[in-house]
Amino acid sequence: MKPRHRSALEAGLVSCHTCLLVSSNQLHECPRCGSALHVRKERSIETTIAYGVAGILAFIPANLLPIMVVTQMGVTEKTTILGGVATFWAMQAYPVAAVIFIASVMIPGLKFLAIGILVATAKGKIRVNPRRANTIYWLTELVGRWSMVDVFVVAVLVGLIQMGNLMTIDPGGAAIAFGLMVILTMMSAHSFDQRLIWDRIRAQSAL
Amino acid sequence: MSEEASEENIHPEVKSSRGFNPVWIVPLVALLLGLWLVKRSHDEKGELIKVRFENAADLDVGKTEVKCRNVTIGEVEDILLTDGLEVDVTLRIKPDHLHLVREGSQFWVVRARVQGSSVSGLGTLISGAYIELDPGLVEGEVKRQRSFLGLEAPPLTPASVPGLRLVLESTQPGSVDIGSGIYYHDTVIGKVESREFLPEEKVVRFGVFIGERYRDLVSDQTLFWKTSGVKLDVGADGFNLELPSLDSLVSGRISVDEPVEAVDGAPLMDGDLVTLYDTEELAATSRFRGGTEFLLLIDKSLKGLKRGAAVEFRGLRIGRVSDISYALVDNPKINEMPVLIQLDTRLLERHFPESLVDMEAGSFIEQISSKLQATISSSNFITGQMIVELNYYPDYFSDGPVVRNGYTVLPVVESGFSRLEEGIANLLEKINELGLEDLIANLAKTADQTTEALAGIEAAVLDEEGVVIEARDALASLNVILQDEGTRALPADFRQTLARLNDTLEPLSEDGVIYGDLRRTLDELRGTARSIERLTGEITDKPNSLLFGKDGNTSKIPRGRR
Repeated sequence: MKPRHRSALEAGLVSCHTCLLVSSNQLHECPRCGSALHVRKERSIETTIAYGVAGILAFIPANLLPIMVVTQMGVTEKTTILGGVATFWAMQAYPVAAVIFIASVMIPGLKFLAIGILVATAKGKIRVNPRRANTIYWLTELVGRWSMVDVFVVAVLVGLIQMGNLMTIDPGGAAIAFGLMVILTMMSAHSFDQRLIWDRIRAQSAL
Repeated sequence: MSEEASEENIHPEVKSSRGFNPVWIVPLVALLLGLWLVKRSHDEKGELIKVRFENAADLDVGKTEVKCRNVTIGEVEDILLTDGLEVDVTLRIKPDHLHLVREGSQFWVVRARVQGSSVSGLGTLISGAYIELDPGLVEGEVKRQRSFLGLEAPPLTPASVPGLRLVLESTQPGSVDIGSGIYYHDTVIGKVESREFLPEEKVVRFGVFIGERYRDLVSDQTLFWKTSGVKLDVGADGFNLELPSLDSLVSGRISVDEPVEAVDGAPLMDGDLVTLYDTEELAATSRFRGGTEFLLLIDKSLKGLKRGAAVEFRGLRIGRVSDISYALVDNPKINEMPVLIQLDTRLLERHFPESLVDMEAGSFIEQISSKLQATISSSNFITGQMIVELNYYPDYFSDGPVVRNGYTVLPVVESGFSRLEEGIANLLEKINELGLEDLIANLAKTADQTTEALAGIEAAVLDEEGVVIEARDALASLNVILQDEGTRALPADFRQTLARLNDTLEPLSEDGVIYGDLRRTLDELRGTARSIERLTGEITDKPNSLLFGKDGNTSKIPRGRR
């Protein structure tokens, strides 16, 4: 597939990461804001992988540790995310269980998968329609900012329910791990330079 | 040039990206953090121990906590039913508290319990049951143990509380049960912790705990008896109604006291076996130390004299009746009921100090036994209880002790008879003092005088004969009067008088004039009476009508608004 248009790189142009000013790729610094100029994001794939791995590592304790410590009438109960899903499912609150499962387990999982696909595509390990890859990237970025729902729910509950021995909710270790995981995946997605997908296409077609 | 420039521009400076990228620190940190978390949670989990319970009521995997003095030290990890239909509960104990799990530790389930007068564990109604661990007292080396037999009920006093733990033995425990208090001078000093029936020995054994503070109150001389509920005791000393506190009415109680004649006893040790007596009296007599025995042969009904009845010396209790049976002697006679009494050496030693007794020569009673007489007397006229009374007669001489079947026989004086005898003797003595001879002389004189008096009376009787003759004459003359003609005419005159009287009364009859007048007068009188009645009625109803007239409207008393 022959690209129908020239890329900015081919045109010898580079965009500033900071102020988005387009300037010549001969320059080392942005003539407007003085930031260092890079043709593509610096070490994009490596950084993406690093953050992704860190995110996966954070995802493990997020699921194993309790996310909420509920003390009700003197009895302390620790709930993990999956435990909560199971509890709601057993209570036949299927929509709630589904929401928690999708938001807390499925979406992070899919995000890791998406990032993996993108990285693999950029590296040329797999062939994915670049338009589809772009959609995947767009979705990953979009979902990223909504992934904190769990942490948000825990924060609200902990803030609201502090009634001494009657009922108290404390955050568990998983809340921190989950928050870290969300941040890391967002950073991972953010450090990915989607232009690399098109560069790969171009390089493959050039061969 | 622009082409060239653009060609040149297509190839920007390409930096080698080999070398360490600091971004890798992030996953490294995440990894380390993860590993640390895993390690910590593993460490926190602690060790597993097993406790076997009869059933797993109120226990939940992952929810039920293990506590020691209300500090959570672990939780239930697993519950399994064994082949023997018991429940194996696996507990995960936090590593910080693992040292509490050792040989001698006790586990039980704390749940709401209502027992006797105490209610416990109400908090668990809401929060759910938990397993309590009592580490017990450690003496010497701490031995590791990871498998325990859980208690079905909480020990009333945890093993880690210092105190004295005794075993009480009773044949009739009554209402004494686990939780019953142990009272010393009406103060709780301990509790019954356990109860066990031994079928072989047919006794009930109670595990008893006495607080460390009260440890010195009990010794091997201390008496333990039960106070079960209301006690109405009709004993030799009369009626005795004991009403314990409501608490002990419900759960029974054990009383503890030293015997009256307290001797310093040796302190009791943990696990010592002590007898629990049924009553205070039994407990008191339990310290009986059998001594000298005497046999009494009694010729009367022994109703009211029981085994165990008191033997008193001049009112001082020194022993008891140990047996009543014809089998006590060989060749018994039916009118000689053998009664064996036994003196309490302990009481003898207490009551007769050495200054009174020459101890070398045996006990006091033995020394004076030749001058002793026994009496069966009633100590309580209401209940008819009898006791044996020993009396000392210094002037009494016996022909040496009579011995039957190895027992010294004491002479028996029948109480009623002996008193009567004494009374008669006194009476006779007094009579003696009266100077009977003078009296008799006086009597003789009086008799002479009486004879004289009688002679006088005889003379008087002779005089009376004349009077009788006169009376006879009077009767004869009366007869003459009755026979007279005039006297006979009297009835006819009488009849005439009656007829005349009849005529006079004629007008008073129903048809007579006077009767009519009288009747009219009576009618008028009746009318008058009626109006008087009306008047009095009116005056009663309205006293002011006399002044203001009959009309109520003229009343000066203001009327309330209608």
